[in-house]
Amino acid sequence: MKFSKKTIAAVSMATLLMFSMVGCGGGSQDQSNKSAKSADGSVTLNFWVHETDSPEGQLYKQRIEEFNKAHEGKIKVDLTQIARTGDASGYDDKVNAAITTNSLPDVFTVDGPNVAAQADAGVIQPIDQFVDKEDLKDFNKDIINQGTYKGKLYGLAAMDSSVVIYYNKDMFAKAGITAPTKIADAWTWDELYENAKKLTKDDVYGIDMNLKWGGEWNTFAFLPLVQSLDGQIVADDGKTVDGLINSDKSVQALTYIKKLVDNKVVNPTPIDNSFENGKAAMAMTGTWEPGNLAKYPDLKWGIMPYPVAKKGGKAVSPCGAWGYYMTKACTTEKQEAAVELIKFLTNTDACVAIYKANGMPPARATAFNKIDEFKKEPLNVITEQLQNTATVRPLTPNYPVISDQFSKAITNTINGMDPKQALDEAVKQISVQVK
Amino acid sequence: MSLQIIFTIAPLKERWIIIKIMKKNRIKANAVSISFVLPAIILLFTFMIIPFALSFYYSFMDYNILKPNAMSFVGLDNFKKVFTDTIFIKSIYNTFRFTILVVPLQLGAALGLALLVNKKLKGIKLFRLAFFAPTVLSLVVISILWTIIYNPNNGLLNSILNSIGIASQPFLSDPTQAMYCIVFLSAWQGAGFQMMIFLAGLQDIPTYLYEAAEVDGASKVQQFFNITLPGLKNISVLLFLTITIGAVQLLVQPMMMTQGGPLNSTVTIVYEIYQTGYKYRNMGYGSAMTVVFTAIILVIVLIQNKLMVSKED
Repeated sequence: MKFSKKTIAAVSMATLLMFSMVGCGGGSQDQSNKSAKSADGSVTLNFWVHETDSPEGQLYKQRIEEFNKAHEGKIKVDLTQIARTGDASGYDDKVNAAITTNSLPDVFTVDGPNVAAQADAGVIQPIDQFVDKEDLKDFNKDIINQGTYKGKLYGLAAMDSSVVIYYNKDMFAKAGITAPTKIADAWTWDELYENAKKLTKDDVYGIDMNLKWGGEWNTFAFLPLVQSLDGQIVADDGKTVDGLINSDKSVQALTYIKKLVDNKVVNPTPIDNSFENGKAAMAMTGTWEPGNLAKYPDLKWGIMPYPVAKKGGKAVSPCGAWGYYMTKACTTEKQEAAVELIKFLTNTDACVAIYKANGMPPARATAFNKIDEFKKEPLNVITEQLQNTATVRPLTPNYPVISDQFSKAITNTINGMDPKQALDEAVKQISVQVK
Repeated sequence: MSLQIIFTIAPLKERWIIIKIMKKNRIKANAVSISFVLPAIILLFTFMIIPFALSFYYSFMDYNILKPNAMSFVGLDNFKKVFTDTIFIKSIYNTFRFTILVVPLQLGAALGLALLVNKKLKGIKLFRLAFFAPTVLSLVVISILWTIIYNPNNGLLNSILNSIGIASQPFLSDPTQAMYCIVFLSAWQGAGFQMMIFLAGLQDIPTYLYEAAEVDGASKVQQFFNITLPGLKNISVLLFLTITIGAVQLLVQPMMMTQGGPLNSTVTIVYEIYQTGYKYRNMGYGSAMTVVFTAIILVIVLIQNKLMVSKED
């Protein structure tokens, strides 16, 4: 049969059209939650995680297999791993799209500061009725706080995070400086400044504070400076910031950072790994650092606690991590199973396993007891901080814009703006975006 | 034989059959042409027209992307906010600053490179490839690469400057220098693409014009201004328009390299829209910004069209 040129053209156009439609469509079919209980009475849960190929990601694959085996015939978990591409935009975009198209999974991971917004929007559901109240006491208080909104608990985490000051033992010995090892002996802001000054010479800075990172790091690491003066950046109503984010206390905190920068004891644009390479005597950074330090076995390092404003003053330290939460898509007959999954992902074994995978401190006291490293120097400082002084970041649906503006105020201060002016700017911008 | 001819010589009774056939042919022809254009129209609708219509709709709403069901009508409130938002206004200023700097730089560089590689030397193709290569790399990769080059402590650029006796520059950490740094690397990245188009245009200019000019005693400079430039006129207009439209949409470089800083000197319109809509979840307000932005681009394009096309015969 001989096809005319026109027929061939028309058929190929139709095929092209068909393929382009298929290409644009796709994606949400595999996420459907329509089948609650399958014929044999077992429940299928869709679980989204933000880790793919990292050790933590591999751990999830393993743990979900264990869970499925242990609950065979009753609960089956479908794990979907979505990569966070730079600032979590890949994972966040997928979640936002799922909210708009009503194709959320049953359980997914959420970063601590984002819980309030999700809870306020009804994207996640409370799990109070399914958890063991006694068991909750084992968790770090800040983990319970980060997962709670308006009195209801929405989820739990297996790991936590903190910020401490790592110090170079050799440089300290040479300068005759002794580092505190307990929060009760923690340095004051003035002591930190004086000692950093002593250690700054030639091309070595007293301390590296990752001032180049900006973004959430600024709020995560430096908000406790404000909180230790009993200040806050937003009122309990979740939106009033005038008089708070730009209060004297905040100005004091930012002025302190500015003092460190202006006196050149900290580099505003630090070289990567300056502490590891001996270009900084101290590093104020997160609890992920020991993994990095392991690659430099010649460096003798110790840990000292987060500084306090003045001797005997309120001790505050950063905290917060990604946790596991149940969504509004989880129908009533699946909710108990979903919380079973959350409990499995946050039991003591899970906490220890996650520490082994990514080096982050656990969220539970029993896990702290099981991991030797956290019971002795230098990591015991982290234990003390997380169990005593960890203070959660503000629990408000408006967290993204408030944190972003606070962070920008810090960056502007480092770049020379007057702290009060920078914070007033923050108030102005927040009022534009928040009702 | 053409149907028209048959029509004229056919007896009146038979003409209605021919009319029927002609109508059928026309429908068949229309069907074929429509099916060729249909995929493009569907894609255009799905990815451009419908989203823009939705944006326009959302711009009158208070819409938090976590609460799609709680959308509420707020009339012109979002637009009133847009015109008093100092950061958004700064972003318009920054975007214009970027565009005014990058367009002549990139076009000039593209033309210069095209003239350089328009020679029949051995290995010239390697140079063409080298100049074109940056346009193939993703902007994200280029931004990260140049952040390292611009590093104030030990970046490549400062090392080079130091070796010739110039002090290290803050580059991206300085409110005045940051935008110029972005302008430079953007022109570096994009010039190769326009160079190829200019090259095609240059090779289109008939060589006898140059030969005639040589005979008349015209210098190389005179030849350039009187033969080359006029010959490239249409291409230049097109490239000018496309570079401008691309430049006002600057997003990746400030997002990856400076996050809008320092001191908001590199916030661009699209970056502010992205922050407002996705980070702060204020989709309604972000949509209003989008509508204002589209209006601005429309005005630019209309002005450019008028200025450029009016000189045509």
